[in-house]
Amino acid sequence: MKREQRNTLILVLALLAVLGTAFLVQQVLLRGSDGPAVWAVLKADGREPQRLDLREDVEFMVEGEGTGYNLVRVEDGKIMVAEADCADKICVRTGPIRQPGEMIACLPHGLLIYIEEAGEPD
Amino acid sequence: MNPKRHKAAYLGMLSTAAILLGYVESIAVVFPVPGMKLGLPNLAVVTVLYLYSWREALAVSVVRIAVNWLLFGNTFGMWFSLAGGLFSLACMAAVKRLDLFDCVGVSLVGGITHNLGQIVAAVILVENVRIAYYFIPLAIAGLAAGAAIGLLSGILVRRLSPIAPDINKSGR
Repeated sequence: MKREQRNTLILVLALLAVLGTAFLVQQVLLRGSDGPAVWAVLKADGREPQRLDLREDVEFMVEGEGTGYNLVRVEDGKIMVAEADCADKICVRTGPIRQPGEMIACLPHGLLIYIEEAGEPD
Repeated sequence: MNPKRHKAAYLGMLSTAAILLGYVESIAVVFPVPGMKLGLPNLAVVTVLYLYSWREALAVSVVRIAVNWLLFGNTFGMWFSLAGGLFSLACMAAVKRLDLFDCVGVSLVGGITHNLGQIVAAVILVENVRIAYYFIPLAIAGLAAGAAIGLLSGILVRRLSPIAPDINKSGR
């Protein structure tokens, strides 16, 4: 085996070890706060972060200035982006979320929705 | 044949390959984690990096992103591609210069740093570090995809170097 190949193999193994450990730690940390999460936080361009109670079904439009819209829907304790006019539709494809640590992002519109840790907020 | 024109033709061909690979990727594969991708266009970029130098690789990368923007008009996507593409190319060029790894190693560094560049851009964009949670799964995928792309590039470089003009002495 050539020197460069051996080095590459070492690099791969080292990175796999580091990233694999980090991945497991991350999973444990996220699962640690499992429970009936009922709050979602919605952040969008130029808006105050908004807290949503997932026990109450709602549907509303989030419109950014000069960006576009996302139709946000809360249903059966889950939150999702039902429709959007962004180019990649990653936010829509993410589907409904309900676990702490899960999130929906629509980067073109600067929109981020994430589930809060279980428990009542202030 | 005039070696300058010969080289321009080669770079044009490889840029076209990069554009097409990017298009194929955008319609063909969808992964569960947002931003997870194979990085097929990087096949052309890594190949050019090895056949020529980082300057030509930069040109191919920028041409690809610019043409994509002209074709599809996705301005946000263009900035995002630049954030990932330029950062990853800079890292690959730096790592290649170290002369420690073969092109699989260089390419996997490119895969990981492409995700890193985009995550940093995303954090700045939504002003929230939560989105960085995606980094670990993205980096693992980037490592695997980058290594695979590197293997393929290695084969391409071996096949192309006898016929490609004006090859850098340092490259293989």
